[in-house]
Amino acid sequence: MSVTKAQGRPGEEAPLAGPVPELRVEGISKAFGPVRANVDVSFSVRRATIHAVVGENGAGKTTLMRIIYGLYRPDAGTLELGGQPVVFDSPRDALRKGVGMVHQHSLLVKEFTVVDNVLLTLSGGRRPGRREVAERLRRLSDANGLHVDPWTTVGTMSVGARQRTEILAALYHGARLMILDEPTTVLTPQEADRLFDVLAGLRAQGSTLLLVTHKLREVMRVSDEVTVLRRGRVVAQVSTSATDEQELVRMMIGKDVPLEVTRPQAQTATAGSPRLEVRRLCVLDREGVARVQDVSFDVYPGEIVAVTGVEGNGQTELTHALMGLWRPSSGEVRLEGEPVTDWSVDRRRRAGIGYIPEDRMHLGINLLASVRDNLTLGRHRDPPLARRGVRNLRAVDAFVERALAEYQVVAPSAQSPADTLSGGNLQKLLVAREVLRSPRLLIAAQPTQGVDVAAAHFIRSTLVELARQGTSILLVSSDLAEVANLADRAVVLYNGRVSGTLVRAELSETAIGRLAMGLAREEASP
Amino acid sequence: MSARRVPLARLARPAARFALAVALACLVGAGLLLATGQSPAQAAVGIFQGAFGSSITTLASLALSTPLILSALSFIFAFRAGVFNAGGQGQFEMGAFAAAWVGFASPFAHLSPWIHVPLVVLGGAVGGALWALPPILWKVAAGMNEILTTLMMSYVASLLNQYLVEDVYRATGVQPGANTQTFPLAAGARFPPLFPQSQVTFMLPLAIAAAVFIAWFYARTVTGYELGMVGTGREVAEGAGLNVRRLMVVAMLGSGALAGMAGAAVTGGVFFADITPFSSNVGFNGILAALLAGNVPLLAPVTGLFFGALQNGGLGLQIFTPISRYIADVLTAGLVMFVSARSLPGEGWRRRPRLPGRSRSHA
Repeated sequence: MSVTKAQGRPGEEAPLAGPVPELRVEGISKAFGPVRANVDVSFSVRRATIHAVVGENGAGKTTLMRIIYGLYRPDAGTLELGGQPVVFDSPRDALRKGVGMVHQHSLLVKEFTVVDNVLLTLSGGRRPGRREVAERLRRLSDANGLHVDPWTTVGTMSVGARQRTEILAALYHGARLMILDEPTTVLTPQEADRLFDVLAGLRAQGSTLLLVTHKLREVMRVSDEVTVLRRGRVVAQVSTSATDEQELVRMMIGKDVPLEVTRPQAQTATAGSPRLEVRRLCVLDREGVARVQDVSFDVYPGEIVAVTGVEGNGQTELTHALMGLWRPSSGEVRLEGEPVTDWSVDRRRRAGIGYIPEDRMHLGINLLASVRDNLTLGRHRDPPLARRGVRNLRAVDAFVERALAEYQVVAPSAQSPADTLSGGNLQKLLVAREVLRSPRLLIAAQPTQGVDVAAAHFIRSTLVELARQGTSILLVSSDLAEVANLADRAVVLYNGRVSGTLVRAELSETAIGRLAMGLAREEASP
Repeated sequence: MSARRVPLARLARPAARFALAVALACLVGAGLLLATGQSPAQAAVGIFQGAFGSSITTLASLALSTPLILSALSFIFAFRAGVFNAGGQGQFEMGAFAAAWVGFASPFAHLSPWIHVPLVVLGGAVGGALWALPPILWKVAAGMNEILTTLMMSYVASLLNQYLVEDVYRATGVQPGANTQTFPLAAGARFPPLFPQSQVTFMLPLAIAAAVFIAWFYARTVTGYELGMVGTGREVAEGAGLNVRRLMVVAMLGSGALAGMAGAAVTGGVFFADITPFSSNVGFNGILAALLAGNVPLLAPVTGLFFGALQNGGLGLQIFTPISRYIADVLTAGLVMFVSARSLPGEGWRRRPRLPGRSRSHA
């Protein structure tokens, strides 16, 4: 970590904190029809602190943030900014009153420069000239260590730089409170470090930061206080130094869930022949841009090989090509020696390749179909679920009942449409469907993304057990902690090429992070 | 876990919506009548008398509903698989022609009615299916929107039918003022009426049987399951390895066949020839009946009958009262509006609201 002493380490008493909280949330409630997203939420954020808000998916974090930055009006409750009650008409209004938001996926206009983006947000009337805006931006950037050149075009910036630009824009408008929504999901560890430096610097200057995240490690590292949400309510507000990750998990979901999966003796012996061979695979996207270039790797039986890196470096295109959803422009894929590069999806599935797609809403689960119909997809033609073209509904129901119980999927009923399930349960449904077919090779793309802690643990345990039974698993994941926990080997992609391969002994988030940014590996292992 | 679902329970919701839509449409119609100084009560009586006032009118309503039911089933069969067949009218007309041709063409001339009549029905089905084939091939090969292509094909069908009837197979010796028609069907090809002096034929029970079959097909067969999965989640189906293109073609061909059978019903049971112009909008009204049925096959006979009765009733209105029969069209339009509404008064929020933004890690 490279936070300098002068700017204050997290957890230290923030030098400029005062008695009046920068933000006070009192009794906020918001419901969408029968869904009560926030129920009587109250907490306060001290000035010049980094305050984390954590909770599972569905806990109400996003709704709460949207209320605080003015997108939603609460059904009940009040907000106080610096001791003064405020009501926001719109995000623009909130910005004017001092609340800025840095979104998870940048909302900046890519074709414009930073200056023009900021100009866009200034209302008519007496608008300052571009030079004036650029000057002010430069001063702010220098003062806060943001390193953003106001004249760069946003589209050419890295993701981390775009984030810092959004912070800069908020500062330009005089934001005293800044909300950051899951800022590090799109960053490598090194970029995340840099962001935290910036945040510490902002704090030293008196800004208040609200950090919404599900990454507990970061919460422990960077925040001063934590508010825990569960099912729309505030469960706890604690000082970070007085708690730990395990306790936070306990507060978030109400029970203990281990953070890591115990991995049995890693598969180091690559005995026999590989189950999957990928040779010099190249994949072009719709516009002819090369997304995967010259990628080669093997997966042996019982191995978990991770394909990782920051999202958007070719992982998605690679999985689509491996599954037969997209034709590679060159290269070869072999399943147990047999070339399958041109095979249809159906043929690959029947040959024993299972697939948990990244885009579970559109490719994985049919949201409008019932839970039952989703579970039987892929095996619906074969006995005992069907015979000679006619389905055996009794057998289907029996199968579905067993599967739902075994995979602990919580659903109103087997007949209910899949979109009534929570994200975690949907994912377990997908996993159940694929794993129950006893695949020889399972391609699991981002299997625990957006999934609650308990379900994520269950899914990871399932994958480990599957590997133990001999299935080869290709784990495509940008969750570096997950990769470090589960993988026997990690193939790191950067700009569509293999940036490097790490074996288990070398696996660490930092090592992966370096390769994910295209840097050469360090000689000494961390 | 739950046992097999009860079919009746699943019908309850669309049936209730239909009833509610009818009630609301009647309110609108009544309002319109009152605003123009006419009596809703009189209109109601007139419609009812026109539809069910006597055994003759009741039978006429039944006869009118037969092609409507088949037409509705045609739309539903494709719709459930995600294919929007807007060309039922054209497939109906081509089916009518094909049925007529089988009826009067010389190779079939002296067949026993037990063979000839089913052949006429088959001819109608084939004619309708063939007419539906080009649009679906264009869709799977080139992604052409089938709503547009099927609709355009209906216009072509109308003109083609006109040509075939007036030029190629025109019947001579037809009374002046009557519709132009083709050669009449052979005696053995005409559908015998189920009730004396009516136009109700075996096609009515056949239509109802088709409704039951289609419901069973979608619920219990592998192909029906696959069609349904394509209809509700095409990309997921592709990702799972289903042959989506083949399935869409099957859906459209089945749909065209049903529309063609509606044409056969009219040719074989009513006119005993193919005529032009076809003043009935069976194809389009069938789509309306399908929408009214909430695209549930088992409800198609109900809404088809309702529609047939409404149309017949409209005629009766003209005869028995000074009220214009177009009020029936107003009722139809109102029905379509209310059935298409996403939620009617009294229905709460059924679904979870979708928050904008990505689905990942958002609370």
